Amino acid sequence: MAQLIIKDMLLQRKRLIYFTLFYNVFAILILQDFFLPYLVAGIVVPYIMLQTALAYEEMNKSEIVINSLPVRKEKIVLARYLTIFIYLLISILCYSLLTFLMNLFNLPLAGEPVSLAGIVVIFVGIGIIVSIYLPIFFRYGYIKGRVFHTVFTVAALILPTVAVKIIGENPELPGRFVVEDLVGVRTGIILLLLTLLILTISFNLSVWFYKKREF
Amino acid sequence: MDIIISNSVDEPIYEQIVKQIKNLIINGELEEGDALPSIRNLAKELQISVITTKRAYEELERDGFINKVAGKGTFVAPQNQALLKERRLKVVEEKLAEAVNAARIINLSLGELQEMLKILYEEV
Amino acid sequence: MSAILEVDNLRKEYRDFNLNVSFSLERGYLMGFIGPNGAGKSTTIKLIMNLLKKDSGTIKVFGLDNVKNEIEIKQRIGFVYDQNYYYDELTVEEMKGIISRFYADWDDELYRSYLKIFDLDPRKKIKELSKGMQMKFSLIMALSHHAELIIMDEPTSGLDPIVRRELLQILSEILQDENKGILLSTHITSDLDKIADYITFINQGRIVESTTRDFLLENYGVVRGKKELLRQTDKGLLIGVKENEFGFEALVKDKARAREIFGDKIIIDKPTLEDIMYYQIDGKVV
Repeated sequence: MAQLIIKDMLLQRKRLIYFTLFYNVFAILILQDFFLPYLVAGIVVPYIMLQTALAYEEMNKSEIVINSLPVRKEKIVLARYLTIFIYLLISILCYSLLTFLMNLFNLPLAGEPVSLAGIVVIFVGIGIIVSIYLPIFFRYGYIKGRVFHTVFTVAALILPTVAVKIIGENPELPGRFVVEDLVGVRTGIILLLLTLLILTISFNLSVWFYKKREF
Repeated sequence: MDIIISNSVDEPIYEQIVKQIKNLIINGELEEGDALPSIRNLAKELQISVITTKRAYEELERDGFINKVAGKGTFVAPQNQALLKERRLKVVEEKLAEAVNAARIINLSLGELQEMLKILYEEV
Repeated sequence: MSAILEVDNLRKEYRDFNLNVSFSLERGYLMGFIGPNGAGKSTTIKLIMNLLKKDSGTIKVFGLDNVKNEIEIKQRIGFVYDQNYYYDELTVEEMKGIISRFYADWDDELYRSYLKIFDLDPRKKIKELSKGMQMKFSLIMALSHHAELIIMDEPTSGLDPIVRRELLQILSEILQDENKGILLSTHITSDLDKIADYITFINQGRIVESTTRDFLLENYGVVRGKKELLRQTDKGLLIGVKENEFGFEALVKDKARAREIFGDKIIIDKPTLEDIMYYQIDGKVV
């Protein structure tokens, strides 16, 4: 199973590095006024990386080979779930590195350092998105899964705009979305556990679907 | 050991192999105890099915020409010498019959034929 | 129990296509799986590999159920498909790195020896390889883990005749090991003329014939004669009758019988596998 994760990394190595860098920089420079950059990056980067990985698999039709190898469907599915969280980790590391460098050179653009609460939020965010998307992908394949992708992308564009509008109309809300106020330690742990539960359910569903898939 | 098979002849390939190996044994080119190629090796070299070579070897074994030794391979069986000689004689007889027929066609007399035989016997 | 593959009453139903097949292959032989496009060859192979789900029937590989013991079986199967489905962005070496780790019996030395035999540069990206080399790569992957059963689905389509012959040579070598078996599906029957031990002929989802190639070549024949002879024939003797201006031609399954009936009035030729396939697809039996 480790091989499958490595395989994903290997296939996307360039894209992974460049896109993560690009998006984190973009988030820091442009989005900083509205959202914590690492929050947005933490959701967008893993999700986009997942989509590109699946797109490539689809184009190559390599699922035929993977499913001809002596490997359990459970492992194939698990690898997909885990890879996303690895992308998440990479994004956070990238952000931290950038922030560190910026502070080192005293650039005024430096964003806030990553906080534990923030990580929880991203984990929950990506966890939920993936829990919904992956079973759809494993059941219907990549192309039909694009429907979800479209819906999600549209939502991802609309929601921030709406959020900006709300903040604009309610100036008493802080200019930036401050996470620490909202997420206490207890709430954080509950959210984490809930997300893990949802992920587990999603995982089992995905495995069930994938076992029935035909290639 | 040469075995030449033809696809365009009517005769089934396994029969061609049987015949040729029999002849090699009768002619003495293959002697008692000589090793034969494995059925798979033969099949690969001749580019035919291993089922064909298997069949050929089975028939040769049935007729007592070859022996399969478990774990070692296939070998030319000890031939009944009298039988072998008889078979070899038969080959000579057949060839002489051919010569006689050929001679008759051009009206060669028996005496002339015998002369030819004498000369050839000494030359060859 | 030497059957390396046993397919029994395997059924799969689609809207406009119905598969129902039974056949088996013993160790030490190569079975050519022939039939026209769309006959069900790929479907059958995918069912064996559990890439498609069967509706009913059993598939046993190495005596084990192909679904219950799927992983164990796949450890011992080498597969070669009709196209390259490996990741074309990766190099040969990288791809091998991924694949090899799934197989318990992966033999790296064997892999390297095959690279040499095929003259394949492991540093090349898969997309940089020609179609023939890509197929050879697939074959190397299939052979480097001491697979007992090699399943090939139209491996030679799109390859030039020279590469095809090379492949057949290699398959010949593999069969020197009488414990291995090869199932090769193809619609290019000439590939099998030199190498197949058994032939299973499938058409429209059904097995038409499953026997030794020798049997087919010794009993089938292509018959040619005057059209008036069509009247005096035995029922069911002439298959796939084709009439032209000057006479008729047809396939017979029993050429001895045909000779009996028509005597000298017909010409009987040795059939190629393609003939055997071709005349039976049309189905006109007289």
